[in-house]
Amino acid sequence: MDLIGRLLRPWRTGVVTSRYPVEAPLLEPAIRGLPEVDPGRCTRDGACVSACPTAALLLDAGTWTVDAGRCVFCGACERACPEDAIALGRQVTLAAGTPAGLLHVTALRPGDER
Amino acid sequence: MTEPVLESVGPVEAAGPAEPVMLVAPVKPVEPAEPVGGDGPVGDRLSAVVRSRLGRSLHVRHLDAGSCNGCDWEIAALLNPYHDLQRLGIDIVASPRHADLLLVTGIMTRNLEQAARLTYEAMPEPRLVVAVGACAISGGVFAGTYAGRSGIADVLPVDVRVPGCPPRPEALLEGLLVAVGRLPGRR
Repeated sequence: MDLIGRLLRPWRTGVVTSRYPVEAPLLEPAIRGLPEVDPGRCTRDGACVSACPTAALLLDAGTWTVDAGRCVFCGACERACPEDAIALGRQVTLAAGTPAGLLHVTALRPGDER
Repeated sequence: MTEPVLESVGPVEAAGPAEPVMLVAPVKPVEPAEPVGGDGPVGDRLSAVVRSRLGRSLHVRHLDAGSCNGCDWEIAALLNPYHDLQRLGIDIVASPRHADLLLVTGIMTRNLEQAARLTYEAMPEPRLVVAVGACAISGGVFAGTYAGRSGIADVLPVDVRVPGCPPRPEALLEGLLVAVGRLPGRR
């Protein structure tokens, strides 16, 4: 029985508790966050919108909008995009007080962002 | 061995509809539609009251309104040594009567509508409601189902929405802190 080793274990392990609100969350590589579009590659063909199972995406003349309140982070848009313009990002802390606060708008052409 | 004699017990009485047993006093009949309260960001409406009455402490009651249990497991993960919810003065309590904030998961199925209303009415004021997950916000993959609502906002007044399917524990923590106005610049 390695008594000394057992007694020293807390010192070797250190503190594992997250310091989240003070520091950024530690995310594993496999974590999927909010979908992001590359405006330079997007051809606005709408493949992502038809692939989305929860109708979370909205594509209009100059903007690409993802409704975080509908998105289930499945990655169907990422797989459907023929231009590889969409990737699931690393943003997971998305709380908002209003439904409008859940809409994340990306301008596809400069100056189109509302 | 003699065979046991089966006695005739006569015709079985027709079992009429039994009197329903009331487990809780009927507070009010469940009305379809007509939300209890409106939508309102807590930053405008309640933040000052919440901060003055709650200080840095928050008691949370979790209510499952027809979820798949994914969000519920993430809420349970908040209590583990890694996320350690209690280090922030937040704890999960066993009754809505002890709670300041209601964490609601799921699409709000028809069966759970009355339970959700009773839970909300049992909470002391000021009371906050946080919708957890895509289902509680918009119905998620179940949006438009015949078996429930598309989100809990039809039944309860939602103060903060936490997206995710399920949301990460950090996202839940952020939602709780946003609800009580402890994250500067957020509401």
